Amino acid sequence: MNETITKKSKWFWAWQDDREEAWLGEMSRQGLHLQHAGAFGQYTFEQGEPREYAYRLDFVTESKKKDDYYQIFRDAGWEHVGELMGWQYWRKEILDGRVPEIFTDHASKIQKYQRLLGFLVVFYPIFIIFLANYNNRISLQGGGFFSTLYEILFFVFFVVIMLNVFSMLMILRRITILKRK
Amino acid sequence: MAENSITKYLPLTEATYYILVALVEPLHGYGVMQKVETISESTVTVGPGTLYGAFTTLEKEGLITMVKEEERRKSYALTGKGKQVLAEQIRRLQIMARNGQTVLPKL
Repeated sequence: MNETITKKSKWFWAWQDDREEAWLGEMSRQGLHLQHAGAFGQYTFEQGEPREYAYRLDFVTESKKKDDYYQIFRDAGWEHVGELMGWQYWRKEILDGRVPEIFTDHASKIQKYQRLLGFLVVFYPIFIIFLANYNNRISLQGGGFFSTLYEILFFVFFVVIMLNVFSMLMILRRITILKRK
Repeated sequence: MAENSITKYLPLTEATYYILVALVEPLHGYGVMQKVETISESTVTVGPGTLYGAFTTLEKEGLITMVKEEERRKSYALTGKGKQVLAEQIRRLQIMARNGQTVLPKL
């Protein structure tokens, strides 16, 4: 019964939403239609006839999400096919070569990236608390095991912080490009 | 001062202009999309993401207000302020169009 399901792993960064959209469209042209977008780049596809779909990603977090949001998209013929950490996966069939868009001006596209930035900024207080506590670690020194564990945790967390900062810079860059258009 | 409270919203973008024009009568999201497509003779298309954002912004600015909610569909209409802003935009567009008409034969 599960023959119609295919799983694929593919990683996209937060600022690569357009590449992800293009890839999902390409999958559909091969007859693999997105059924579920999971964490860490785990995609579930349903096998079927190849179809021309436009996939579009919006970013709306839980608190802002309302019934009328979905209704406007559905009325306009869009199908909600996935949701992950605020990312909303929408798709609509491409008919007569007319590629449908959920955002039809730069201003609304910019707003989407601003919502994404707002989401990433929320983590900064946690980062600051963590970094501020780094000095306290020195008092643990000589503690052997716990000290080493803390060093490892610190390193992992530091990488996460750097990725967050880099993501924000890349998203800011996209906003700047859109504003110039 | 009162003048400024209207002009600060101008000029409206093409999409915002058509959304406000469509809302002279109460309409829900998809109704606005269809009407804009029709009255603009397909020169302007408003996607659902753009429209949802525009509703949020225009409501916050007090140019439109929700008048009805039925089966998850919210209907909006122009407020008094929204009507004033739209009227001023139309007045400016008429000046622009008149100017355009006089130079058009020379182009």
